[in-house]
Amino acid sequence: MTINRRQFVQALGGAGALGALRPGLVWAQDKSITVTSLGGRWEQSIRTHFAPLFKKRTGADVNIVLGGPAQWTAQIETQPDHPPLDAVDNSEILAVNLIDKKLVLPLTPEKVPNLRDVTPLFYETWDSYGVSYQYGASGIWYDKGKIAQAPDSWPEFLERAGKGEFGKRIAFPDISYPWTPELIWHLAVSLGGSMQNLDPAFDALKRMRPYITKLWGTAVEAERLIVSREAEIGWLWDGRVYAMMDAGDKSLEFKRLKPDTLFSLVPAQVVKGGNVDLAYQWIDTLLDPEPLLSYYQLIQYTPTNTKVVIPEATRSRVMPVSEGRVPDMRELIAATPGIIARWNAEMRG
Amino acid sequence: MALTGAGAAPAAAPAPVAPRGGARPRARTGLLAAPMAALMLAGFLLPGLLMFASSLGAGVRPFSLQGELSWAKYAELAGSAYLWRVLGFTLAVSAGVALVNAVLAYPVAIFLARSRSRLNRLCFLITFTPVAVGMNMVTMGWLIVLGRNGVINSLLSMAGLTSEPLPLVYGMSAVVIGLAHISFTFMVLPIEAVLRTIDPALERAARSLGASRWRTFVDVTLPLSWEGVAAGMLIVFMQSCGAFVIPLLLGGSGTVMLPVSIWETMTVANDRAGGAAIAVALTLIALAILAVQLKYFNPLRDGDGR
Amino acid sequence: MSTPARPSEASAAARGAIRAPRRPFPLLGAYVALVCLVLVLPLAVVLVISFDTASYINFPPQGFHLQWYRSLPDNATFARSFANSLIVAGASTALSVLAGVPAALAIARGRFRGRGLLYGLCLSSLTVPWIVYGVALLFVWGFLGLRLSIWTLIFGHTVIGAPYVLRTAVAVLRDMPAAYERGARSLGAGPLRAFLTVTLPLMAPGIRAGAAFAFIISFVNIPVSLFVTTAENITMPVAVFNYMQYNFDPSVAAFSILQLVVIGLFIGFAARAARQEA
Repeated sequence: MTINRRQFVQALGGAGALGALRPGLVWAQDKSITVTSLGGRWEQSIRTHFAPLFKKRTGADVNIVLGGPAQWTAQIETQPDHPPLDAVDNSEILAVNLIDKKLVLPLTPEKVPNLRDVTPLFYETWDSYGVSYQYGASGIWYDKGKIAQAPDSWPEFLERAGKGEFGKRIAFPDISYPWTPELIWHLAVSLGGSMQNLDPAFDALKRMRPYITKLWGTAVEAERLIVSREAEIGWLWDGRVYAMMDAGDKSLEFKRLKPDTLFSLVPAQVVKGGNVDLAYQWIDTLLDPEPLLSYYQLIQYTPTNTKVVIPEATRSRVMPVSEGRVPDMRELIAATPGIIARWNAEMRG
Repeated sequence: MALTGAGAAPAAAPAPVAPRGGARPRARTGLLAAPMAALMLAGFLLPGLLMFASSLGAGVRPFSLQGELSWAKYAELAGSAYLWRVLGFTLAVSAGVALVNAVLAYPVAIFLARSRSRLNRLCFLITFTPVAVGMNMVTMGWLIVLGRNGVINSLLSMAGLTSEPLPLVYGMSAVVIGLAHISFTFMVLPIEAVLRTIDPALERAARSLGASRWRTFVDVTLPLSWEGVAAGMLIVFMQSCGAFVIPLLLGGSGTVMLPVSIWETMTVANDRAGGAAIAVALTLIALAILAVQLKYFNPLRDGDGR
Repeated sequence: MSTPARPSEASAAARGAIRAPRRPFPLLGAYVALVCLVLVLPLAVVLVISFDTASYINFPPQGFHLQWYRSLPDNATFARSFANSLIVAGASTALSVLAGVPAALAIARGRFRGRGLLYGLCLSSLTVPWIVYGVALLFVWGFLGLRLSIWTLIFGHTVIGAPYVLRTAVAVLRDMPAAYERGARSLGAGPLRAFLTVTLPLMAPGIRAGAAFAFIISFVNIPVSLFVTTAENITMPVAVFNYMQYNFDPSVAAFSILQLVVIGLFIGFAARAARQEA
């Protein structure tokens, strides 16, 4: 029997109605929690390392929302009465946003016992309204077959890049990458500037501009550039580069430069109005040494819980906390629109 | 204008026995459009107003019009030479993609509409593949094809034609190729649909009057299918103007298009009001173009047959 | 008078006999074949990569195995997002057709003031960039105080998909002589019957094309779904996008090839069902 159009459309409508009547997806409020995760390896880690421990301790299931801080924050802001997430892994700047809008709750050692073993920097940066369970150190990656003498410091890197010593083979983040404003600040400071005086950084970048293969917008693009060797040197986070080196890229190398290292502190926060009790326990689980070690072995970002024992083999890769620095977040937020405008005018002209 | 005068009765209005309708309430036909109009009011106009309010500085939830509302963001927009450049680039690239696709897709549409070849069905499926596989994979595929160690460069160097890999990717050509690829389907299908409705008798008549195949095409087929081409070009243009993933991943920093700017403003600069202002501006421009296209092509010119 | 390529055609044309549609220009087939190859080239490359043994995507591939496909069903997000995509695409397409076809009739056949404005209103969502609409959809839902759910997606996808149905339906209606309908009416058929037996079959190619668009753009849509995604309503391309944002291994290729296969099956089915009518 032939199926004519109308029957077909009716079938589609039926499928739609069926979907609407689908019952199954309403969990009892206190037996599950909704948390966030980036896709891929991160999701895998949450599911296999953290979620089982959490379920064992609380009996609650873990539902994961994929996406990114921009989407999660937007959802929390537009749905404050019934937030669709209970805990969020946020970006540094958006975390401050949520704090200022009073949409997240403070963390205390009573509610989050593992907080006691975490270096204070990792929660004081947010006045305890969030805590980083891992940190990433930035540095340069390079092909050691092509670049015999890697630079030692940020000023040296910028100078040699600006002279064309590395050829048109540099990978650098674009302004659409969320950490670029921070990076510009860091480079400026290493050249003697400050948040108010970013000229040294912009001057250096403009000189480097003709030698940049591609200004990448996501870290995955950067990885792609590395794998295809469209670039031979660039800026990136340690975790990603080490993971690629471990996966078999023999001529790839990573190096942190002097005088210090910009690091990324991705704070986990408890959302007001969600399953608050379970959310506190979730954050505690995120800080637990046991799953954190597994996380480190998979993702290669350093855990912030001092009780985690890093295996001997990779200990040299770990950046000591004292070497890292971050800007004042509120200063950064205030300066960012200006940085973007300047980038658009000077780098994209 | 209508070829027939009083006989142009709306087909769907309820009627008494009289075959030509007489004093049928014509406005009732308009009611057929009510569901769609309601959908658009709730689904486009309302969000648009919220976006507009957001660009003036209003809070979205809880919705409040208190606080400092101002046109500041629009003033910033108008004063930004960079954004004007980006706007111009966006419109130019989108128009280019629409044109390129119209030319490339038309013959394919003829083939699909007219040919009796067995490969017709296969070709039909193939024209769906770019859109069906999604933006991410189209991007990835072209990156691998156009990349430094990619398919094209590998072939060229194997054939000895080039010594250095060509920089094919991360520039405007890659963006145009990617956008044209992913919107190809939307150009082929409207043209094909309209071609199918063209009465073959018209073409046969032209042929029997002595016109060559080419002249028949140019003077009969092409004008009759124009509505399909216009529909396709409009859709492709709009899609390209709103494209985000492909320009971001296939383009370089010299090929920034407006949706990427909106995203950057909202996420990196954390300036929701500013991003909303750019979004409102882009939408208004696109609406204006839509209005011009509708007026110029006048699809509502009464088509009671020619 | 120019001579046609084949004498038989000349005499047939001269006789005005009813015959099969003329064969296309000889080069047309070759051109179409070339275009199809180019359309498929990037996707073929991705298919090859999906079997790659390397842990990062690169060209040329290093090896061949089915590991990435085998591991897909284990991925909890995969199954759910797949089902969600089908439901959202199916429902929004059905709603788009139900809203768009009557609207096309009203606009193409009606004679009332403000028709042009109405048409513009009904096409308006074509103008908004999808990434913008995704944010706007979140705003609206929050404004109305509704929880995010699969209905948010269905609603949003219907709003952006319906104009495709409308546009192509109007294009087809406009070129269709209303004489056919009037003929049916003058034979005594009521308006609904005239519509069902005369207009609708003639509109079929337009509706089919429009519905196919609406389904596909819903199924593969990322930007509109991105901001309203929750743990329960995540769709397949959003899951793949999130994966691709932060990972770069060939399982993304495998995931996308599967997405293509699903859509291909659907389109094949729809095309066959529709062509059996033609």
